[in-house]
Amino acid sequence: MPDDRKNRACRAVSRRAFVATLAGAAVDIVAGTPARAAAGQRIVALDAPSTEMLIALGIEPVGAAGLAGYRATEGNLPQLRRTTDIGFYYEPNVELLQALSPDFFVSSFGIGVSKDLLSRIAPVISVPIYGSGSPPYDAAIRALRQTAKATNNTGRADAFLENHDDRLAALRAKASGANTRPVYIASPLLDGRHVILYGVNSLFDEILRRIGLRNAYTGPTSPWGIASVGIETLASGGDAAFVYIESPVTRTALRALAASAIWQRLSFMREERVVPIRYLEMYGALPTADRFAEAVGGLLEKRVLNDG
Amino acid sequence: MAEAIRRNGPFAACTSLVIVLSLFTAALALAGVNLAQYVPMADWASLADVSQTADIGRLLAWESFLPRAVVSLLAGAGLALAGVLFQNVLRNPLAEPATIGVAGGAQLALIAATLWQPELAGTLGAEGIAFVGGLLAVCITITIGSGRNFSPARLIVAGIFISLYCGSISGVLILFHQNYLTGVLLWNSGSLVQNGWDATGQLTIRGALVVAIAVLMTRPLSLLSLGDEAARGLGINVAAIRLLTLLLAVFLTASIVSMVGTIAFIGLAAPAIARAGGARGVSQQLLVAPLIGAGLLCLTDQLVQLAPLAREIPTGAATALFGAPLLLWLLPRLRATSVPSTQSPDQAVRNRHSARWLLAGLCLLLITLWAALAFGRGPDGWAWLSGSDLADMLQWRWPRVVAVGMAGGMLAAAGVLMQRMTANPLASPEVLGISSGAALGLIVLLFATPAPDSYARFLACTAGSTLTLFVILLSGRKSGFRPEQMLLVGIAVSTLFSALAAVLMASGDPRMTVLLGWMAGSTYTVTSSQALATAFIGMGLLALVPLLVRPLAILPLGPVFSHAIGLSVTRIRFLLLLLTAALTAAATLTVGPLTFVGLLAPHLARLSGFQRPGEHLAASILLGSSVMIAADWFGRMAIFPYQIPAGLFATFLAGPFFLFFLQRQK
Repeated sequence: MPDDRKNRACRAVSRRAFVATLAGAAVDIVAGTPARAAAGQRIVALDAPSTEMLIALGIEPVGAAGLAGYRATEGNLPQLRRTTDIGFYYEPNVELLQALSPDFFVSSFGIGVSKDLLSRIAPVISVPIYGSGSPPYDAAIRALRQTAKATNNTGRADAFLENHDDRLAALRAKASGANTRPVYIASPLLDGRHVILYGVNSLFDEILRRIGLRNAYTGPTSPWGIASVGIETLASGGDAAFVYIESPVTRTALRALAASAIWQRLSFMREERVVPIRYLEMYGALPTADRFAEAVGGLLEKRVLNDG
Repeated sequence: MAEAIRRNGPFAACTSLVIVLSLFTAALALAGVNLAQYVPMADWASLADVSQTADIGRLLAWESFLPRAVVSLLAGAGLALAGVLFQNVLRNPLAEPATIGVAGGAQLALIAATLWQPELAGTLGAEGIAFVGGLLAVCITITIGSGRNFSPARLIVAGIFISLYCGSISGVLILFHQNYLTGVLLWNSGSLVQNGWDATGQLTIRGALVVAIAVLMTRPLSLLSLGDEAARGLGINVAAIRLLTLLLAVFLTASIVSMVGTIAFIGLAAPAIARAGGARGVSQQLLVAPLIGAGLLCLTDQLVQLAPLAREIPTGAATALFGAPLLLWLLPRLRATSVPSTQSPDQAVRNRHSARWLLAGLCLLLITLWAALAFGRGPDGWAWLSGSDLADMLQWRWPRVVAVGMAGGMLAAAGVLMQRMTANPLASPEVLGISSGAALGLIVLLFATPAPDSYARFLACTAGSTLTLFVILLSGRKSGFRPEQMLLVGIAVSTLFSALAAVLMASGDPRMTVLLGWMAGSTYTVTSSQALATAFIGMGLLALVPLLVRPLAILPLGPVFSHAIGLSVTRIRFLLLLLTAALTAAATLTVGPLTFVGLLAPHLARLSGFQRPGEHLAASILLGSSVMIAADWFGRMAIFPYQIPAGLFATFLAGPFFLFFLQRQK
C-alpha cells in the first residue's frame, strides 16, 4: 500500500510538470502573449473558485461574479474592497464588463457563460476544475498554476502549493499513526430526510484519500462529486464518523433530523461522533481544499476520528 | 356527441376492477421483492417487534420501507380523491391540485422560511410551513376568483395566476440562493422518503376525515353536475356546496403536498383513467379514482426503489415519466367525459373606440422599445444614452430587445388562437405542450453534454417541439382535433418536462443553472443572428394570423353553423393548431417555456374591452410585446448588475394589471 502511494505521488509530480508545460503553452495561445502583471492589471474573476485563486495569489480583481454571496460567506476581505460585483457567474453583466474594460477574464467553472460573448471584451483564460475530465484535485492544482502564470505570479503559487503539500504530508503522518474510522462529509438538508454527501469526483474526497482517510460514502455521485441521498443510506456506514459543513440551515436541519427515528438509531448518532466544520464552498478551488485539509487536521488533533 | 356511447354497468365495472386489481397486484409483488432486500421472507411476521432493531435491515424495513409504502398508497388515494373533487366542482377535466395554487404556495412558504426564518421550521416543522403556505395561497385564489356562485372559470384562472406568481417569486429566490435551497428543491420534486410512522398517522387521520365528509357530499355533488340552474331548482345551495367541496379538496391536497412535495399527475391521471375505465357519475368516480391513484403511486414508488439507478429519482418525477405515456395511450379510449367542459369565460365590458385604443397601444410599444434600448443603468448610475455611447451599448441591447418583443407578440397571438379555439381559459401555448417539448429536447441534450453551444440548443429545441407536434397531430387526427384532447396531450408533456426539470434541479448540479436560466426566460444568450431569425420568422407567422380572423369568429357558433356556411371545422382546427405550434416553438427558443405571456396577454386584452377576434388579436400582440420588452428591461435594471430573467419578470409585471382588471369585472 505505501509503495503504491509513493509511486502514485511520483507519477503525480511528473504528470504535474508535464501538464504544467502544456498548460503554459495553452495559456500562451489563448492570451496571445504572456501577460505581464504590472501593478494595476485589470482581471475579472468569472466565478467563486477563480476569485478564491486570485486572492490566494495576492491579486485584487477589478470585478468578481457573485460577489455579494461571496462576501456574505467569506466576510469582507480586504482584497475585495474595491472589487465590482458583475452579476451571476452564468450571466455576468456584459454592459458593466464593457465599462470596466478588463485585461482578461479567469473562468474555472467551464459552464454557463459563453466564451465567444466575453471574448469580444477581453480574452478569457479558462482553467476548468470540475467536469474537465480529469480528477478535480489535479485540475485544481493545474488551474492555480495556470492562473499564476497568466498573472506572472508563479512564485506565490509555488509557495502556496509547497505549504499545501507540507500540510498534507503532516496530516498523512498523523493519520497513519492513529487508527482512523471512515468519514462521512456531508451537508444536512432542511427537510430532515436527506443529506448531501461528498463522494468520488469531489475535491474533499480527494483530500481525504491523500491524507489516508477513508470516505464512508462510496456510492455514485454527480459529475461534480456530490450525491443527495436519504438518510437511510447512512445506515450502512457502520462505525463511521459524521462530519458536516456548517451553513445557515444546519441548525434547523439538525433539529429536524433529531426527530427522525432512523437518525436517532444511526451508530454515529448514538455514539456521539457528529462533528461540524466551518463553512466551505461546495465547489471550490485549491484554497478551499487547503482549508478543508486544515479543518480535518483540527479533527485529527482532537482525536475525533480515531477508532476506539 | 356520437362519440359519447356509454358502456353499460357491469361491463364498466369490469374494466375498472381489472385496472385496479392489476395495479395492486403489480405493486404488491414489487413491494415484496423490495422488502426481501432488507429482511428475508421468513422474518416478515416479526417485523413489528421493534425491540430487535440492532439489525439495520429490520430497522430500515420497519421505519423506512413500510411507512413509505403505506404513505404512497394514502397519498395516491388522497391526490386522486382531491382531483375528482376539483374536476367536478370546477367543471374542468384539466383541474388538478396544482391548478389552484396549493403547490406553488407551499413551495414559496418553504423557500421563504428556509432563507429568512429557519427557526420557524423548528416549531412548525417543514410540513407545517408548507401546509400554511398552501392554504394561504388557496385562500387568496378564492378571494380573487370568487364571482357569482364561485364561477369555475374565474376560479381556475385565478388559481393558475397564483401558481405562476408564487412560482416566479420562488424562481427568483432559487436563482439567488441555490445552495441553501437544495432541500426545498428535493422536497418539491416529490420525495416519499420516510423516517418513521408520523406522516402515515397524520395522513390517515386527515384522510379519514375528508373521506367521511366526501361521502356525505356525494349526493349534492351529483346534483351539481346537472348544471347550476337545475341544481338550484332541486334545492341545492350551489355556492355553499362548491365552497365546502373546494375547502375539503384543498385541505387534503395541502396536507399531502406539505408532507411529500409535488407528485405530478396522479390528481389528473387517476380520475381520467377512472372515467376511461367507465366510471360514470360522481359517486363511482369517488370510489374508483382513489383506488387507481393508490395503485399507481405505490407501483411507481416500488419501481423507483427497485431500479438500480445512479441518482435517487424522486417519485414525484417518476409518476410523470410513467403517467404521461400512460395518459397519451389512454387518450383515444377516453370517452366524452362526464365532467362537462367549461362554460364560456365571463363577458367583459365592450370597448367602443377600439381603433383609437389600438393606436395608443402601438405608441406604447414603440415608446417601450426606445426606452429599453436607450435608458438604463451603468457603473455610474442611470443614464439616457445617445450618440456614440448608445451605439456602443446597442450591440448588447438590441438583440435581446428585438427577440423578446417578437417572442412576446408571438406567444400572445398563439394564446388568443388557443383560447378562442378551445373556449377554455386555461388554454395557453405553454399548456399546448410545444414549449415543453422544446424544453424536453434541451434537457435531453444537457444530459448528454454539459455545455452545449447555441446551435446545438436550437437544434435540440426544434427537434423536441417538432416531435411533440407530431404526437399531438397523431393523437388528434382521430378525434378531429377536439380541443380537450389537445390540451390533455399538452398537459402530459408539460408535466413530464417539469418533473424532469425538478429532478435535475434537485441534484444540485450547477449545470442546471443554465437550464434554469433558459426556463425562466433569460434572454442573456440571444445573439444578433438569433434575434434576426426570430424577427423574420415572427413577422412571417404573424402575417398569417389575420387570415384566420373570420374563422375564429365563426367557430364558437358551433359545428353545425360552420358546416352550413362551408367552413370545414376539422381543417380549420388543424390549421389553427399548426400556426399556434409554429408561433410557440419560435418564441420558446428565445424566452423558454414558462413566460405565460400567452396566458395573461389575451386575458388582459379581453378584460380591457377588446372582444372581437381581430381587435383581440391585435391588442394581445401589442400587449404581449410591450410586456415582454418591459419585463426584460426591468429584469436587467432592477437589481443591477444581477439580472432577473424576462420570463419571471413578465409574470411579475402582468400580474397586478391582471388582478386589477379581474377585480373591475365584479
